Amino acid sequence: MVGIVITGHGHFPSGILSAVELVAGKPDQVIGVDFEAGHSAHALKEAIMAAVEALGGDEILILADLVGGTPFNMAAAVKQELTSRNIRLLAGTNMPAAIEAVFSRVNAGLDELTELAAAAGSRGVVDFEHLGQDKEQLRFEDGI
Amino acid sequence: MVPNIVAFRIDERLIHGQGQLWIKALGVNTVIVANDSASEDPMQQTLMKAVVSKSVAMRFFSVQHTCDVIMKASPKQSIFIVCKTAEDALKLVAGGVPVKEINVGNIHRGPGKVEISKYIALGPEDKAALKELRDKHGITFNTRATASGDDGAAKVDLNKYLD
Repeated sequence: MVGIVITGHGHFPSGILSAVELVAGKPDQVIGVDFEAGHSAHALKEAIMAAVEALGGDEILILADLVGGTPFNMAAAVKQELTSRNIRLLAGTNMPAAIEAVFSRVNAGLDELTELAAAAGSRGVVDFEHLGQDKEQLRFEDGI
Repeated sequence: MVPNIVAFRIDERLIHGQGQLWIKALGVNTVIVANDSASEDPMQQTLMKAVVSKSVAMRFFSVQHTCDVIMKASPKQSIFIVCKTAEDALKLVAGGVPVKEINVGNIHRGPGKVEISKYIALGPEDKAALKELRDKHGITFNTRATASGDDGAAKVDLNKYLD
């Protein structure tokens, strides 16, 4: 199973993990690495590295909050350095992406999982005004 | 023809974040929301449809209508039924919806209710309905809140609270 590290500014990682836990149950092989005020980029990188190493398995998906932010940049550095592990890295993590990543690991390997999570994240940003415009309903002949 | 009911869940919030994952985990192609109020409320229906893939048929039936039509389900339909309360579950089962096991997901806290897990609180009316489901209709219960993962709720034995 692909191991997942969630990193981001402030308590974004532990926060989104608590939300994922509420809807999907407590997931195995997922570690949140918070980047809190006063911590150095170097310490964050070490913490991401430690999280990756704490996860068993060769395949790791790192979910970061903002592209170009320090958590994302440090995760990129970890990916560069830890060539022994197969690491993919996404930015722009939101609830739909995190849920998809945690939930689809049963069937998907790292590359597919990365695509699924990215797609779910994009699809999950929805304008309420556009909801319910699709009136089509799946029908079953001779069914209910 | 007995309808293929893959799972039957009591959830005070009907289909929401957790429900969405249940549908995915179960791999069903039909969801019946058996609830009188939701069956007449386009807003609730819109919100519930929003979290479910378009490849899944969503049906919003009253409790009575569910009982009336359930036996007419197509053999191609694999069905997840969700209702709001233990009392509605009893009406559905007594009304002929053929299930053996019920997943008790969310029953929220309220005055006079006893909390038995972080997701389930039982009042006298819940207990009476669950007891009748068990004793008269032979229903067994499970209390997993989420479709996968350890949510800490799965280990609760509901039966302990029904005597």
